[in-house]
Amino acid sequence: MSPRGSAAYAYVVSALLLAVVAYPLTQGPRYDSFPWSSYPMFARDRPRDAKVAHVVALSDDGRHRPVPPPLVANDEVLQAAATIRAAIRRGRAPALCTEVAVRVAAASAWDDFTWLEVATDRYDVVEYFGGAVVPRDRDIHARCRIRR
Amino acid sequence: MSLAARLDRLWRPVTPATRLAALRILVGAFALVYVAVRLPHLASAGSFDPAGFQPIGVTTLLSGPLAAPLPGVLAALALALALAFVVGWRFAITGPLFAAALLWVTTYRNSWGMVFHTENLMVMHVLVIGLGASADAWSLDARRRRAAGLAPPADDPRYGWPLRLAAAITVGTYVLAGIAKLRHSGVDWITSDILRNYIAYDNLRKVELGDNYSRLGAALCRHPALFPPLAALSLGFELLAPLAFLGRRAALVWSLLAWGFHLGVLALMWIFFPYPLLGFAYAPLFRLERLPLFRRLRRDPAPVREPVS
Repeated sequence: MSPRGSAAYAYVVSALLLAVVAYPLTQGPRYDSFPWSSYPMFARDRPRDAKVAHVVALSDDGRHRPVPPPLVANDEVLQAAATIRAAIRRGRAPALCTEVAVRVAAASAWDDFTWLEVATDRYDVVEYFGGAVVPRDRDIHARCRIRR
Repeated sequence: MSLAARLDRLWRPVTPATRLAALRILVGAFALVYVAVRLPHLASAGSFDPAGFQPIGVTTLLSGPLAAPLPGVLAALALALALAFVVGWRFAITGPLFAAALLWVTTYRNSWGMVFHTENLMVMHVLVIGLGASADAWSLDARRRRAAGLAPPADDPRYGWPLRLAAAITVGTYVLAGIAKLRHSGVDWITSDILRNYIAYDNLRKVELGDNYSRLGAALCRHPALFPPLAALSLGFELLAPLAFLGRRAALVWSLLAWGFHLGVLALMWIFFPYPLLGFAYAPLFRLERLPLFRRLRRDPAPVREPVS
C-alpha cells in the first residue's frame, strides 16, 4: 500500500471505530448495545425500593432458599434473571416452575425442599442488609411441587 | 512541520512492528482463552427459546435466531481463528476474520435479553488489531517472510495508529461511562444515594437469585457517608481519562486508578471485569515489546535465509 493509501486507511478505520464507540452519545440515556455502550446500568438512579423476580424453594417446615442460576438457566446470574423475567412476562411462569422443579429434584442438596415458587418480591435494598430480609410484598406467579 | 503533519504524527507515530505484535499476542491470547472457556456458553445460544431473541448490534441484521447447530459452529470457528490470530498465521485474512467472528459470536450471545458488558473492550481491541498490520513481527507470517529472505520491517506509522486507536477506545469508553452518569443523574450521582443503592441492589439481587455476592459491599451499605467520595472518585477518573495521553507517567497513573476502580467493583459488587482487571484494557498505552514476557522473542528471531542469487 502506498504511504498515502496507508494513511487514508488508518484514518478511515479510526474514524469508523471511534464513531462506533461514540454512537451511544447520540442516543437517549437508556440506550445500550454491544459492543458499543455507555454502560447505562451503572448510571441510572436506583431507588431503595426494588423488585426481584426469582425462583424460591420452600420446605414443609417453612424454610426457603433461592434457587441458584445453574438450576434456573445456566451459571450466569444475569441470564437466569432475564429467563425468569421473560417467563413471567410471557405467562410461562408455571412452565418454568415445572422445568426448574425437575432439575431441583435431581439435586440431592435440595432434598429438604418440597415446593417451588416463581415470585416477584419487593425489598428495601438498604434495610435488607440490616436484617430486613422478609419481602415487603410478594407477587407469586407460579407454584409447583418438587416431585421425586 | 505543518499542523496537519504534527497531528498526523500524533495519531500515526513511527512505531516498531514488535509493539503492535506484542499487543496482538496479549489481546489475542486473552480472547483465545476467553472464547475457549466460554465456548459452552457461546454455543448454548443455539438451544435458547427463540421467543427470547432480542437482537442488538450486528445481529439486528437477522430476522430471527440462527438454526440450532450454527451458533456452536461459529463459536468453534472463532476459537480456531483466535489461534491463527495469536500466532499471526495468514493474518491479512485471519486477522479481520477473527475480529468479525468474535464480534458476531459475542453479540449473538448478548442478544437474549441480557447484555454482558465485560466483553466490550476486548471485542473493540480485537477489531482494531485485526484491521492493522499486526503480524509483521513475532508471527508465523514474519517467520515466513524472513525465511524468504525479506528484511524485518522498519519502524513505521502503520504500526502506531492501531495502538493509538486501541488506547483511544479504552479512554473513550471510560469517558462515555462518565458522561452517561451525568446525563442520567447530573451531580446527584455523586451527592445522592445512587451509588450506595446500586451496590445494595446488585448484592441483594445476587443473594435472592442464589448467587455469590460481596459481603463487604453489603456491610458497607450501612454507612452512607462512604459513598459520595467513592462516587466522586469514580466519576473523576472516568471524565479525566484523556489525561492518560499526556505521557507515559500519566498513562501509568490513570491505568492504576482505572484498575483500582475495577478492583473496587469486584470488592463491593462481586463483578469481575477480567479484561481491565488483568491489565489488558490498558496495554495499548505502554511499550509492550519491552515486557520481560517477550524477552525470548526479542532475542530469538527466526533465521534469515540468504536470498538465492
